[in-house]
Amino acid sequence: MIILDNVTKEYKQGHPALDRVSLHVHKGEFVFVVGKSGSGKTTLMRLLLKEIEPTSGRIIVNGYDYAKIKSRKIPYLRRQIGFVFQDFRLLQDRNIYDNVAFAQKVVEAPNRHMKRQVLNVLDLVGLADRLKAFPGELSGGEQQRVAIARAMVNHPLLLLADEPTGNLDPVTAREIMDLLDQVQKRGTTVVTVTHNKDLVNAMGRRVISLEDGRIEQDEARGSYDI
Amino acid sequence: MIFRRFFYGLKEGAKSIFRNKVFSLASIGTTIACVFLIGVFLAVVLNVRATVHKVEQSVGISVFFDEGLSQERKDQIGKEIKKNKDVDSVTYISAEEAWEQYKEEVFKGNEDLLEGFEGDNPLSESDSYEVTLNEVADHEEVAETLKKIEGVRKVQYSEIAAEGAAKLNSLGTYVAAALILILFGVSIFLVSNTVSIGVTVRKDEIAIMKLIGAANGFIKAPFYMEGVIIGIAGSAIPILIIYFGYHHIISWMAEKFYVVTSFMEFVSVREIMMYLIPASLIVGLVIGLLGSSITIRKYLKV
Repeated sequence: MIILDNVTKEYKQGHPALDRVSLHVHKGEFVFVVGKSGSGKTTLMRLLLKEIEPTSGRIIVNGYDYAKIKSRKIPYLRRQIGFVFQDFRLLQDRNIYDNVAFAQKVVEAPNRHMKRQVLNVLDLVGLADRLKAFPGELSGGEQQRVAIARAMVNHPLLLLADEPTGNLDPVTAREIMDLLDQVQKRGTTVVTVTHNKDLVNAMGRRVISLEDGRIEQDEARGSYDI
Repeated sequence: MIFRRFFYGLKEGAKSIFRNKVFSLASIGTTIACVFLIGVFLAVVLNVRATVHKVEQSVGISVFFDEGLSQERKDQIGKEIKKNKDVDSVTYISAEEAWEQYKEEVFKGNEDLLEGFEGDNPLSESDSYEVTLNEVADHEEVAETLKKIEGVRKVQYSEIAAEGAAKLNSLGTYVAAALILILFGVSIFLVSNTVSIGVTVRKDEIAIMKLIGAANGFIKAPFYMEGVIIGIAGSAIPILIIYFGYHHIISWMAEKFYVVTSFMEFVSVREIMMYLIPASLIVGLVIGLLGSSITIRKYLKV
């Protein structure tokens, strides 16, 4: 699903945010990316979203070679990648239903199945009864659920979550992690960047540890102990 | 797909206009001002042109013949003049008619002074062709050509009248063009600013759209539409104002400035509209599209 081959990203010359990183994530895997601030986690996510270009090296996601993809094809690549951020990034002027349906509308999905798809995915995240609520009326955990529903409604092959529990209390954080776990069990590859040691250790999944832009550890059933 | 994107863009563009009412009204207002002035200039230019044309018709060239030239040759000369492509009409003025005309113009009210001329025509050798031309500026050139015709003694025309009409025509056009260009630029700038406010307001939404994988055209459509709606609204309103206001202005001018308007030729509102409607809509559309594409290029690198 994801191949990084010797990828380096330098924002300023001589100081790489990512330094010759190579890794391979299989289809349907659940991977944690951990590390201190400035270790290169967010740069890795931004590269995978093709928000930024690597200084050198090769990135291939779901068969798309990032160096070769034409700019007008980037939207189609992104339709296969769902994303979830620490700050939820919901549209405050729209209710929950419209926030999720927005993802379908902007990719110009056929209208016929839209309502059913949106209701299904909101049911999956446990918010089927809050369709009319606005983001401001929801708790942090609920907002993150909406963000996950929005990421999932277009059936992405890959879900990228950047600190999805960063703003949440431990109990809610665990609930969100369980939800991502469910997403992975339905066949989606999940890559989660986090600081939350307890969660990483409790989940017992593959852990990639970054330090100063390099992979320090990559363990199949790892723990977060840096 | 294209229709869906079109209607989505239209809906979101309209929403954005209502969301930023103040700025949208400001740019619709300036577009109205621009197109309205274009309309006014157009009306003035059309009227000036009509007046100039009227003057052209009256600024004739007189062609006089060599003494004792046969009527046959005079007829031939008439035919030759008609062949010239710049000539609009050729009228033969006989010596009698010329004398009658002269008497009418010079001795009107003092007919007693004419007593000495009774039975005599001092202008007996002054029969001529009155030639009118299509374009004002051609007078000199045509006069030169006519002089060369065999049997032509003298060619006479009013240089001052011809030049004056030509100058009025081109000066009006230059002033109008310059002002329209300035207003056009200002309108584009303001539409661009208004659309950029829409882009700023929707910054988060656009960022999310990009990440979700919205096609570039889908992201841009509402902003193009916003510009187009502003442009069309800004051009439709002045068309209506001019349509309904034209009559009032013409009759008001005719009443207040009788001296000026007496020699003017006014064109009908229908003729004005024939030029104004397509011109305004095109100008409005171009203002809207240029304004929005400047912003889209600047702020929406997708």
